[in-house]
Amino acid sequence: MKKKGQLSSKIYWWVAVLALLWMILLLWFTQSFNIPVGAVL
Amino acid sequence: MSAIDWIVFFAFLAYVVWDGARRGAQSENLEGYFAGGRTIPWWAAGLSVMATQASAITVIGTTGQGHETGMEFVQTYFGLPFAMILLCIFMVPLLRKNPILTAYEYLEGQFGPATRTLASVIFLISRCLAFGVVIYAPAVVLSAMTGFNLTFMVILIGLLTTAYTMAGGINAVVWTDVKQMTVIFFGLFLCVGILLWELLPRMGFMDMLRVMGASGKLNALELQPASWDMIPNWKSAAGATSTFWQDTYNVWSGFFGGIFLMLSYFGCDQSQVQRILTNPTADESRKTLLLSAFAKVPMQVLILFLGALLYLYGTVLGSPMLYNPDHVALARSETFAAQIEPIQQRYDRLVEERSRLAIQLAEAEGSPRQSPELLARFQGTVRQVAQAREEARKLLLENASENRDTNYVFPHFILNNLPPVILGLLVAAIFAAAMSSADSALNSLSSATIVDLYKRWLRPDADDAASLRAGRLATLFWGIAATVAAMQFAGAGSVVELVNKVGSYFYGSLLGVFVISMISRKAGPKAGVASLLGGMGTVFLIDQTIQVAFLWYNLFGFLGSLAIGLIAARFDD
Repeated sequence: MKKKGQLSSKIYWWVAVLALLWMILLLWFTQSFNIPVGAVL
Repeated sequence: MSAIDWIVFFAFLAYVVWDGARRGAQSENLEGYFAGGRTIPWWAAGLSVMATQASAITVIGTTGQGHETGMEFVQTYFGLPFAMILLCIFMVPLLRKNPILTAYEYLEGQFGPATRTLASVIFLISRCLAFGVVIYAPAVVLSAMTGFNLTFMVILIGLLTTAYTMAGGINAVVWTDVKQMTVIFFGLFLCVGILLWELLPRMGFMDMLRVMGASGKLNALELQPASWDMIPNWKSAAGATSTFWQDTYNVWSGFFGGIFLMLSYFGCDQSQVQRILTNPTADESRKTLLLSAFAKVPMQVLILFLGALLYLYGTVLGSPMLYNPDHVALARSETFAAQIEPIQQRYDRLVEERSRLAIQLAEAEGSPRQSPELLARFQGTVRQVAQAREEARKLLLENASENRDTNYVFPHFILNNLPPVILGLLVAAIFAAAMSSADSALNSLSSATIVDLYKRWLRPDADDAASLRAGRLATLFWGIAATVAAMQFAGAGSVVELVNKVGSYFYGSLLGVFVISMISRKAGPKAGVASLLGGMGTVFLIDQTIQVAFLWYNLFGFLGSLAIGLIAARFDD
């Protein structure tokens, strides 16, 4: 049984989901704004 | 720097040293000196973990990287949160089962004293060399910023860090790291604020993103590596088309290569493991690691975005051709002045043109892709500006590619744009970043020396007072050794790169031996030693034969160590 104050394993899911969200955000950010120099030359 | 900046700078240094040294009273025995009496709260240990990883070179080098090559470096950290989850689930229970003081002490239980000693000696060698770099690299930049002699700067960082770490042990390390990390964060946010303050009257925030993007600086996630060719090039095949394994920064090397680097660094390197041994419970240790899992990627995004903003600032308001003060002095010398002049004139014209086009791009409707002609002209000048800088460096320096001025971009900005007091605080923040990495290295070197060597082999019966005295002397010894090593690096830039490479030889092996202890009950002394040596041998073989980016060394070292260790386990009794 989980003791009071004990770390819940749900926290790992939160960390993983948040990390994936960061990656998705940065992918969107890159694809929306970045144009490699030379790409249009 | 003005007098008030010097006062702020030295007041901060004096406070850190006093704050660290006064914690000596909390260290009555080895557990107090090396594990803080297992009383340190998770948030303090977590900030200390982040401060240790955020060396001064992270602060000044990474902003410089954001300026030069954009945000691609953030991908190296994508594996970190997942590595932390794995460490919380599998590694923390192992390390917190018994009240150990070093990560390698744990290994003795399954593999015997030879593996423990070998792992500890491997750690001591790699960390001592890396420790020299932690002092040397920021000292070069700080001496250029403050005008102090390089040797003096190396001694100042080495001496102050050794003084408070020797007196206060891990308590001093953690609690000074908390303050140092706070100052680093404050400094970073302040610089982003100042840059936005300067730029916002000239263009909106979305326009800024468009211009930075058009400069190729917002490349935070590359799904497509430079090549999908999975057959690596032999070392001898110089000039061959680059393969998948040679591309350093893309999401695949960052995630899969990075995860093994982070598992090794946070799970097997005593300079980090020591922090999770200081918490009262295993759950507190988990929270210590999870703080980095939550905060590290956003922090790197912030630092690299700051670098990209510095580029935009230079684009809109003009930027110098050379950032390193030594290069500037060389360009002004009689030998080079006449040859540099035409390059400088061309550079000035190009910078003016780049600024004009950037404003036009910001004022244009929609995405820059909708104005292809303007975008092409802008990107043309961006490329020509970079070429002119490279040309100037090649003229001045024999090895221009090794002598880039990436590390001087951020210092140049803060020296020339920040108001008094804030400038002193920012220079102190860079100094703090150097000390917060050096102090952890120092205390961990001392703990491995005393716990794994002195108490294990030389004086097993030493009482608390004698052990503590030995711990302080070991701290002093490593402090002097690293400072002397750092002084030897002066004038040998490639040594720094070599030292970083040496570190990646060991990491995969250390992780391999820990994983074997989890998956094989049969593995004993032969498996432990074979695994460590086999992993290093694998990396050596790969390094000598094929072209691979450094992030993959950890994966190959780990796989080699695991395979050889598991085969050797069959010969253990």
